[in-house]
Amino acid sequence: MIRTLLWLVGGVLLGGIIHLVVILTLPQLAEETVWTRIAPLDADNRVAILPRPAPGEPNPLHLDPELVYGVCRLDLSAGPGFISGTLPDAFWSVAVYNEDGIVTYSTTNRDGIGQTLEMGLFNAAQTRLLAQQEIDIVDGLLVVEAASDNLIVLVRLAPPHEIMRERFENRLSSLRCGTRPVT
Amino acid sequence: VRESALQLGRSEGLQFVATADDEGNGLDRACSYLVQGRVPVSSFWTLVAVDEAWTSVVAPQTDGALRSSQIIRENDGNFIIHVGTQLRPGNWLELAGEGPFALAITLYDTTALSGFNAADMHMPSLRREACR
Repeated sequence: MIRTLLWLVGGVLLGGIIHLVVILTLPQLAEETVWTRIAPLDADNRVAILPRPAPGEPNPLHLDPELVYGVCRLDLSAGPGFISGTLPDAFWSVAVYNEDGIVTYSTTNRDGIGQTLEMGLFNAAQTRLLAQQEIDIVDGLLVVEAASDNLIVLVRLAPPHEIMRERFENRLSSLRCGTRPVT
Repeated sequence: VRESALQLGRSEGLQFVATADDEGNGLDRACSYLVQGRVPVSSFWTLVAVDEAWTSVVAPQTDGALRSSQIIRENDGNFIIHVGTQLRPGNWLELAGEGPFALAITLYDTTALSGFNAADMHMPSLRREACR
């Protein structure tokens, strides 16, 4: 009797562990992630404009048709990342995604940075170098610390009118984005 | 929710999605709906209609979304927005096709849920009107 009960409890425990492991690893097993969806856009170390979602067409990234999106993929193992340039006088925001598509940092131009976007992205080792003043940075650089090397930087820009859309897309694609090797 | 979509960062804004009206009935394109009231303070907001796969169901020849700067408001600041495939006066988000849909309102740069209380959480009502 005791033995049967022990087997039963053991079985339930083992089943519970397998269940938890499967549930927790499922997100990593997903084949379609933000990372793979951005991959065909040729956005490595440059800002690519995401195509506007058209009515009746799938919109897997859940893009807002009223906004213009610029995306840039960075690999910090090549050096600290940067994105810099000026943007039009309208609402814009920046979000940094890790490889799993989770936002690790975000800000908007209302947070006192106006029209100039100067952002540096540093992984843990580079942050240490930064603290030891081994890396030179310009004054006023927005320093963002990242936990992983593979990052997606997304800039959302809101043209006030439809007619400004093309001009805003051009301004967005003229942002510079990439990595700078530590010398 | 993991949907491999480009989610909004916390400081960028919030998105609310409605799949049912105030009485709990699922939204269907055979009916017209009335979105009435106001939303929490934000720089601007957009309203879109999508199906389950997040494909836009807004009529193709329109802008594809309603934006807070485009709509007409009442004297008290509240708005009334008609949503549906049938022609409506005033603010009208024209839909196309048939079947269920969801309404997504995205508040950019909003103060909602950023403080310690939820006093600013005014969401509009969503009532069903006539059905075909």
